[in-house]
Amino acid sequence: MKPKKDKAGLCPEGMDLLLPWYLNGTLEKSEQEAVKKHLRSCPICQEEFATIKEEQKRYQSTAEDIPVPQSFPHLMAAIEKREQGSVWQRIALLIPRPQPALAAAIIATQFIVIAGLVGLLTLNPWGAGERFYRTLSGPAAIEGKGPRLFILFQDGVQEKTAREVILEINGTIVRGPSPMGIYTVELRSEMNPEEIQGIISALRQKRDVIRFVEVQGE
Amino acid sequence: MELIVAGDRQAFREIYDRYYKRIYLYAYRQLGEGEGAKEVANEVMLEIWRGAKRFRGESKPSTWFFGIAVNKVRKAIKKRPPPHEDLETVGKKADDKSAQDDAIYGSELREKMQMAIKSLSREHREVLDMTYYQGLSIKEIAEIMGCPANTVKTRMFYARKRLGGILQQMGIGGEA
Repeated sequence: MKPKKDKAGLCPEGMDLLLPWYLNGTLEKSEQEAVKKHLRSCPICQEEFATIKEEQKRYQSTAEDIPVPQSFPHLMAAIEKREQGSVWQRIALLIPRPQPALAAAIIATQFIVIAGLVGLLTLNPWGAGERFYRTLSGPAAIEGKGPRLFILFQDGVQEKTAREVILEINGTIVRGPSPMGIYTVELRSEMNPEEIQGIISALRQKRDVIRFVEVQGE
Repeated sequence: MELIVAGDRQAFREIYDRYYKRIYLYAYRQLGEGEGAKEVANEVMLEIWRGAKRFRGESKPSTWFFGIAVNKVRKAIKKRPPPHEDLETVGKKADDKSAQDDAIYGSELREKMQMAIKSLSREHREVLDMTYYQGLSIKEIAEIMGCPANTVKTRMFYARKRLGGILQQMGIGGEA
């Protein structure tokens, strides 16, 4: 194996760049063999190798004067001290951490539940809201099929009294009171003319409450 | 490493015996002083003890250890840059202290060598130390330093060239 020529090297074949690792014995076997063979014939690399050997020796000698301070028990004591660290770190260690797979499953379940709830609210398969919220008059009043009366109450009649009168005749306020104080009240659609006339007569008798009552369109 | 993950102190002791000194000396040479080196070496050991489960076995344990050491040292240098002496100061100091160059492997020569190493750039110190002292391969160094193998080779070439130049200025004969 021939290493690529590198402009940084001295040797034309670039082998000198590998010499430090040839010396520390960490080259691949093929490289080790190639450098060994090359060294026999290359005076540049021979000289360089001698320099590197000397250099390494000097480099390693620098460690001789350096005292290594630590001992294992001291290190363990230092580690334990740091591990005990803050109270919060210790509390955090007591909190069980879920496995990544479990955490992913929990997140996925939450997502499915939320999506399901949003879907239910959107589709409203049980008609929620419609069932529970209903006007006093019921859906029939919306149809607007029943006969309608204009009713004007006497001045000073309270709203509660007016409502009681309307409930007595099973009527529904569909409009009003107008600026003049007139209510438009719808009666049940199945009423015949006699019944309607009876209601009108009964209302007209309540003079203390009602000033005026007429059938719409007459 | 599996034993360390399981909290086996004896296994950790073996790692300590094998690597603590090497890591300490690496940090010492990079930082140029003992207190910071001790702190770095302790932090590296703590990281090995606590974070052994993060070791995925894709590289040799030593590569992982030195990777941690290199990062810790770099952080320490960033936090507290060592006084960088220029060549004249280094040479002058060496001349003042040593009268004879023939004390080849004596303490004065070692001191000069230490000063010369100290005056190199961080990258040059790293590659020299990992090759000459730690005995790591090109591949391992490339992995630790996060650069291509060819960069390691050329960086080593220039580191040696620079070291040789400094030593020559300090009166230590020839290229290193």
